[in-house]
Amino acid sequence: MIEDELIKIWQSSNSQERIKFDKSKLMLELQSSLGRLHRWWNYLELIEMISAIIGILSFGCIVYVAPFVATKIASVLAIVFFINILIQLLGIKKIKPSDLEENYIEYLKKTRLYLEAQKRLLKTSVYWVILPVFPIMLLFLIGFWEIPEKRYLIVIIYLITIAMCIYGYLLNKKRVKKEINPRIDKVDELIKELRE
Amino acid sequence: MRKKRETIFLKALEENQNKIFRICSVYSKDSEDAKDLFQEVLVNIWGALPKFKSNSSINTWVFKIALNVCLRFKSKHTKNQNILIRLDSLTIANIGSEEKSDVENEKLNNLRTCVKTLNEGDKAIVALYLEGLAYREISHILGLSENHIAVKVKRIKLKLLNCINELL
Repeated sequence: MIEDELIKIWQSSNSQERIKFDKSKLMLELQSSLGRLHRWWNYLELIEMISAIIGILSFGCIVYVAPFVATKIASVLAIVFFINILIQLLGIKKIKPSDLEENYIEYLKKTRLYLEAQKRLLKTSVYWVILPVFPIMLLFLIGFWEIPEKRYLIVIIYLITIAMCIYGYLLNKKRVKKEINPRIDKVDELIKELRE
Repeated sequence: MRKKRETIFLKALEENQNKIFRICSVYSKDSEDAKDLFQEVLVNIWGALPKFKSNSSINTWVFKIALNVCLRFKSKHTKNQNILIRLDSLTIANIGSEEKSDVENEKLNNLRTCVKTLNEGDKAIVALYLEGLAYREISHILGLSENHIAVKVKRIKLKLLNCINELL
């Protein structure tokens, strides 16, 4: 088989699959699909924003109504904590590769950068999400310790917080290991294959 | 403005639909997967069209989008099935091999099988090469030098020919 025959054979597949479309209907569908995708992403972002705002507003109210100074301080810290999470999440969104017009290598490099940032975010979340929860929660609950009948509840809440934090930590660790690392390896391999 | 965008899109689609579908096939495990990917590519081309600069070739630009979408689709596939795109106005029919001889079909199937055995990097190059793109265009789409592409194509062709000979 001569080499140029490869192209001829490959392009002969036109007669195996036939693509048909109704022009006007296709244009309407494309526009609505695009709109649906945008709405989906906006919806996800909206949920994140609303959750953060609800969190901030709730703790803002607690600052005023809480009877204990420790609880008020914890609420202020919780607001700072939520704002920090929002900033971190918005920061990573900025580097998400969205420009499909880049050349393939550039797109791969940007994908790698984004995955690395995601990995770093998840790995360091133990310091800026999980660990700060304990002192904030402790400070928040400590004021209520003065009410003897609430002590039992405080211990339970604190134990649940610890369990949830451990679960979150393990979940992040699993995501890095099972999801992000294999994708980084794949992108590295692809860049290597293209360059060698 | 919208009308102009539609005209450019439809012209590009008519000229490149089979080529785009073949590129999608290279990155898909079966024909259903290729159809899903083809639809995803179309929506992304339509979405990115406002950014297209008319001083560059629309065909090269379309391939660039197609390859990047294939890469993205492959890495997120099975996770985001809930937002998978469905275009009902589009039909991709397998019309089979009635118009072609058994020998021609066998050659095509062997070539497809061999392309699937290549690594992902080689697949990207060969998908563009087999569509008849010049080395300059391939290098522009992939971001590699023309010389590098020429060397790679030579190696890949050899791999394909060896693979096809083994299958015969």
